[in-house]
Amino acid sequence: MSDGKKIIQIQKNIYDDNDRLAAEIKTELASKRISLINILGTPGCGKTTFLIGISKYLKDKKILVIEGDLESDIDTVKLNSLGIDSFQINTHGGCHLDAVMIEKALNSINDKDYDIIFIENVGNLICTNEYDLGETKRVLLTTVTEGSDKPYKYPYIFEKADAVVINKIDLLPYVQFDEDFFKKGIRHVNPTSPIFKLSSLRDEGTEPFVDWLKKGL
Amino acid sequence: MQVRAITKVTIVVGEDTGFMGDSIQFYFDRHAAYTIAAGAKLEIRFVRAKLRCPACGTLFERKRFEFACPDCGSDGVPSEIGKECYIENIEIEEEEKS
Repeated sequence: MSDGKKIIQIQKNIYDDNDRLAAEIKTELASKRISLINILGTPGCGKTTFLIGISKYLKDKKILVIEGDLESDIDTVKLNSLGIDSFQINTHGGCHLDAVMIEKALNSINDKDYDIIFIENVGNLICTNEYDLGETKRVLLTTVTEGSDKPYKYPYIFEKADAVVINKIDLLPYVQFDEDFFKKGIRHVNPTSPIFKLSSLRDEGTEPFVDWLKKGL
Repeated sequence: MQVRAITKVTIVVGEDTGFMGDSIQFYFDRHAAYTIAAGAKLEIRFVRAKLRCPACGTLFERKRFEFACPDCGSDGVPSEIGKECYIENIEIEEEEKS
């Protein structure tokens, strides 16, 4: 061009670098027959209790939990005290985990002989959804206490979930939760993923979820 | 090729990404400062999200609080349209050959 200007086509997704690394993680773990399960949900929805709950049904599997929190090692201390291997990532203010953090965590773990690695993501329904971590399955944990309008307000995270779990159903008598409305909202954005109802604290309804999980390993 | 300056960056942003034009501009200016992209014009191509009708295949923009397909009335499901987030191209100035 006479004015010395030139257009260069880029066509590169903003998440390209993350997604490429996530794909590498996925391939690497698949070759070792390790399943990576990304657990997402709000702060306080019971992700750690849920993991403790399902671990009782996974005695025949060697499992590890990668814990994502802004600060503290409260969850890893708790899991380790129960005999569940866990590894802490602190994001120091970051609102989500990304593939770089997962790769680094996987490289730091000496024993690679796991069947399932769970990732307990940072409690958040927005940013966590944008980052592929190389997971085999993505599980969204919700609760009856969050309100049945959540799929309408945060549709994107429901859209990408491979399974939606409604936790804390033991609290149903005490809260207003319109299950039909909630499920209708999920089906608008995600017509096929299974929806499970359970109470991790009371160990109610855990088995159907574990059966689904095991089928996908 | 020696690049003297990046004079324009065109990005494509879908409605469903949740990214706001003003915010992107703000951070672009901050990050571009003191680089060869300083002062570059940022052009944002905004893409409205569309649902796909599973019954008849129509792609449509949904009305607020509604999912119904305008052609057949079935409820639409999310499509890829509206999830874009990429740099389409950059305009550069080359170093003059000496």
